[in-house]
Amino acid sequence: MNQLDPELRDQLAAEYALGTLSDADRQDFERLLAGDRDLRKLVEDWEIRLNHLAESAPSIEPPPHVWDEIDRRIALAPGPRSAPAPVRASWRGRLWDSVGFWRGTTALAAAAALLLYVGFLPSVVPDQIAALDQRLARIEDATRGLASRVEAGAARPTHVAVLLDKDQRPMMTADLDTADGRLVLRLNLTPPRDFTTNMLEVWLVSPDGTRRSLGLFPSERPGTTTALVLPHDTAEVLAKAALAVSLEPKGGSRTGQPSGPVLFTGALMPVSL
Amino acid sequence: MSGIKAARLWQSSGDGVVGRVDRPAAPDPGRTQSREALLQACAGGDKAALHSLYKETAAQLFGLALRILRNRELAEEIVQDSFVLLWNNAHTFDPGRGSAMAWLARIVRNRCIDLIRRRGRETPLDHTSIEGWEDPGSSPADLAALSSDARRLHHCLDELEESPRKVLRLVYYEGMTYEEVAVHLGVPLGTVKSWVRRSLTRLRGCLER
Repeated sequence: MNQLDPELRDQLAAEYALGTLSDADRQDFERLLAGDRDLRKLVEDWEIRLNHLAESAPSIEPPPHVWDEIDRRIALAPGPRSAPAPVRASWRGRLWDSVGFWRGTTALAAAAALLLYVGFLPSVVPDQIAALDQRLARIEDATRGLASRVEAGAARPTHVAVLLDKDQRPMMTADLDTADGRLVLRLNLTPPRDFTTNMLEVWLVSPDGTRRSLGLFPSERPGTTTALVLPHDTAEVLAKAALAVSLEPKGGSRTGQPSGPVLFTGALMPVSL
Repeated sequence: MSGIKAARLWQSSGDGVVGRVDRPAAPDPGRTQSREALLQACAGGDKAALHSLYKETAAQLFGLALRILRNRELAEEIVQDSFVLLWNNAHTFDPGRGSAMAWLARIVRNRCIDLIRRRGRETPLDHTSIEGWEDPGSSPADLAALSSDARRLHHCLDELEESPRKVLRLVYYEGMTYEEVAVHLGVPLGTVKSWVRRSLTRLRGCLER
């Protein structure tokens, strides 16, 4: 992309900002965006330029409950006790924007929900099979890692998770030892998002639907590994829970709940060695 | 960006009574704080500022989302999500780069476009309803109410020929793809693409003058 002439870069940035690129071009472009800060700047410049047109958009007063819901969501106190966001089945994309999707999640329910989600999009089934293959390979990798650590006298992880994004790519792997509450996370792929002002935050989604921040993930670089030490009760809950990673402003969500899009999720599954 | 500078000067004066300097014909005579100042107050955790900003901008943002999505429920959700995002990301707003409305619209419109591009339109485009929409922002009275950046953009749009300008508006306000525009106007796809690309190049040239 850097070899492309500046005119073409700017043209693609403008068309991306306008939303007119074809699906394939859009996806290619988003991959480029992830690793090209200058290109992101070009897109932002165009988005701001073009969105001055919004000042001439027709005014249509939204119903009062729109503000009430905003007010409720920003008033959410930090902590996991607030009610999860409602699931709107009519809006498939929203599943990935709301950890409420994982309300009542167990590994089984998560798998069923994933299939339900995939069921909406028959065209992704071949991709899904590929993703499951990759997922199995990841689990094997993770298991190999566990075995070597067991040999090295390290604690024995009891659960693993593979966190998939909405395109079923294995974005992150996790292993957990419920005995010492140690959760080791490894990022495999960089999500195509803007990380100049954002970072990843890891959430625990309990079977009862509560969401608790487990901490910030230190980098968006593939291969980054971090270990989070969890309170004992959390470790117990974790064994029956799912993990979710959302995009948050630097420093993490200020509401105590995911405020940005949920980029990838995965249920913890027991490992028997 | 002279309007932005004016707004900054006004903010720094601390005078909460006068209207925004670059909006002499602002539609809301009771406005006491610029949208930019409200947005910056949100970054400091001022919920009253968020509510004021909502009251000033939600109708237009909802209008934009509704026009792109053609679905009230989805448009309501997008507006909700966008204001929550605004609240959490207000500190990233840079008034030197554009108006608060453009910043907000960017959040709303990007989410709308992502939604219809990735998931498909749940409500199909209905040509009669498109014809029913007025062409936004074309009367002099409308223009007077705009920020200086928006006025400049309209001025640059006016320099385009009629058909390319119409296409650019369909793409921006309706969220149409090239294919949808081609069908809607009965014009070859290649023509639509070249109109938009040339228009964008000319717009940038005009805005940078």
